[in-house]
Amino acid sequence: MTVALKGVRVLVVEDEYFVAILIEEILESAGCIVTGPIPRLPEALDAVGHDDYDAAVLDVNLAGERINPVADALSERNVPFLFVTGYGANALPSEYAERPHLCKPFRMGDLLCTLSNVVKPPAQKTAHPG
Amino acid sequence: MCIFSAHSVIRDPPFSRLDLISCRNLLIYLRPGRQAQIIPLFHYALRPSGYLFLGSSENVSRHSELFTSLDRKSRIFRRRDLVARPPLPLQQFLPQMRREAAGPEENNSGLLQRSDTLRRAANTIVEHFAPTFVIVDESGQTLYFSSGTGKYLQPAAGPPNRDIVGMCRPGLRADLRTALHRAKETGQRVVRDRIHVQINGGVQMISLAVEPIIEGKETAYGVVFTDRGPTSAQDETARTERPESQDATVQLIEKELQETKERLQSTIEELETANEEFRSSNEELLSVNEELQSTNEELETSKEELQSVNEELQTVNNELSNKIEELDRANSDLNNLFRSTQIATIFLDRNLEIRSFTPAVTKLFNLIPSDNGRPLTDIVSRIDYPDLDQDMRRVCAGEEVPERSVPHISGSGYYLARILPYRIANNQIDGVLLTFVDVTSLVAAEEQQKVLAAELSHRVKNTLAVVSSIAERTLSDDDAKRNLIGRLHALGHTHDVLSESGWTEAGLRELISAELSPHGTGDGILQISGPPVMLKPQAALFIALAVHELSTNAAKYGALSVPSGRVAVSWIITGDRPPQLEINWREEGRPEVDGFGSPGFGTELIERGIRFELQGEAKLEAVNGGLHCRIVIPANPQNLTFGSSRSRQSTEDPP
Repeated sequence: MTVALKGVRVLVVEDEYFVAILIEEILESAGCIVTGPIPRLPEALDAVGHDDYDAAVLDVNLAGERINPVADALSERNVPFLFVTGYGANALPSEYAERPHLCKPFRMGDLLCTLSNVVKPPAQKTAHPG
Repeated sequence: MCIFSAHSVIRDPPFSRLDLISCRNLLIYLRPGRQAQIIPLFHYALRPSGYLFLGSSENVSRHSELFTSLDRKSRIFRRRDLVARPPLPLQQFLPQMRREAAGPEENNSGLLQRSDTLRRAANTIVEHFAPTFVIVDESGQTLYFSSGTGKYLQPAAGPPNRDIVGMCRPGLRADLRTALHRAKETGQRVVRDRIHVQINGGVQMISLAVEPIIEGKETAYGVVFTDRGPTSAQDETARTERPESQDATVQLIEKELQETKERLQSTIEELETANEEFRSSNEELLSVNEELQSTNEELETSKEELQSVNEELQTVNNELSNKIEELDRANSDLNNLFRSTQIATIFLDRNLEIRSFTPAVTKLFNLIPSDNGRPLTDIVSRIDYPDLDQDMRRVCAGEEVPERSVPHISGSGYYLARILPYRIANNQIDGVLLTFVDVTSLVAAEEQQKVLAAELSHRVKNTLAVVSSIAERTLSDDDAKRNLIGRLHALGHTHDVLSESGWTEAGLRELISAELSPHGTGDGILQISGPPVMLKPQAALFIALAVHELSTNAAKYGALSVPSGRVAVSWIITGDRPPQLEINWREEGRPEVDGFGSPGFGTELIERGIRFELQGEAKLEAVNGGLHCRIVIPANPQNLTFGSSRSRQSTEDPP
């Protein structure tokens, strides 16, 4: 599964430093090309507008601000994403309640598994064995 | 000669023999009856031909016979001397006069009586032997009658009239008028003979004489009647007058014609005079009419003005009623608001006596409406607020009193008591406004929040302890174990400091001291200085972790690993726009150190974490003499608040 994530461009938006560097480390160890982690909303929106990504890992709450604008911008560009939250599933933005999410603390495998489910539908995964 | 004295023309006895009386604009204030009394008094008081000067709207109208008008416009009159003045009302002055004249009267009484007797005797002789006569003035008004005039004169029909011509018996009038006229013209005595006067059915032939009597500037006329022969019946008289010869007849007729011509002439002249008088009267009437007209116009103008004033008053009145209505509405709004509001409000005056209160107050004070005007402190209260009186007095004196949370004495509720000055128009304090807001639920919620926060803090620390314990037992590498547990402790300690303030802030000095204290106990090893700065939780956590990394590094490899080493930590607020907090960590005594002992987690935390979490900058460098770390973070409200002083002075070292 980790092989499938090699070279995948991932945007990481997370304001908690230790969580952010953990996600960065996990993803880089799986061969992803990580942008970020970005701790604040304006910079995150900026990043969404400037580059193409294959997936995104989003914290629900950025220093008191909701992640919604970033999620909206990514949906518009059909970039798949997953949420990371310390609050539980109830804290997800209501319009993205069906999106995959991870509760802090999470394990390395949980993140990579969820991300690879998000990045490519299972049927197409075989087309890029890597 | 001038004598100045206060003199009442009504009460005081009049002066006499005055040359001039100036009495201007007094009479207009008196009733006509009183005026009629005063004019004869003036006449009495003036010497013959003296002058009277009245106000422009006054006149001697009722006694015009007493005065001649000299200047009609200026109201200057001259006393007429030959007039029959009505009796003076002198009785009113009598008491005074009697007192003053009591002595002399007695002495002179004999003489006076004698002269009176002589005069009476003379009068008796005159009555019996003198011819009948009448004295008239220039206009023919009778002034004096002798006895026996009834034979020739009789009162005319109509209102009393003193005109002698009007009184004449038939046959006498024309001759009398002519004679008077002639006498007036010539100033000589005029005699008319053979005048036939009808007297009570008979005819009396009389002769008439008019004698001018000049007295000063005025002239009176004595009219003297003398009978010629006895009274006879009318036909008899005619017979006796029958002419005896032709010549005599012609002579008689010519004489009669002459007399008739004279009569006609005088009649014509009188007519002209009357005509003139009529004309001047007419002119006067015209001018009076004009005056009346102008007065009328003035009145009309005044009326219009009054009307406009009235209209204005009406408008003002309407406005006033509108205002009153608005006031009523505002009043009822306020009443409704007070009744519906749950905020207990009491209005007190300057003596702290109750002016009014809202119904919600009755839960806190045993108040009934009739308590208005009583001091509030006299009322039994159900709240525990012992300083109430003192606080109210302070507010009255213009001080500010903070709001207080006061408990209900039953212990079942809390009220937020607020005491505010009641200010009137010119910002003066005219009493006190007390409000009590029921904050029972708020207080309960606060309590619950405190319990929850304490519980949370407790659980977090428990979790950290559990993590430490697990790490202790899981990790085999001693170094890694020590590092991890040290970091967990630093986290836990910052947590403690923050939870003391309810997770609002933590003092920078306390955080740094706490991290350094395990390493530098010796004298002068540590120097910590900087202004009071309170860090927000996130900043506190990161600065504490950074200082923890720096101090463990110093203890292991840096200045704190040798006895001569020194560490100085200082911070200042720099720049104004935007201000920044600059923390400097300086190690001395290990010149050979060229950087962080073991790069990795610590350096990354300091350099990257500070930037990531606090949008700040951190720089680690080895300068001559030891490690130097400079951390700069924005001094914004998300990161920190300044302490009581923003001065950059270095505060004293901690003991």
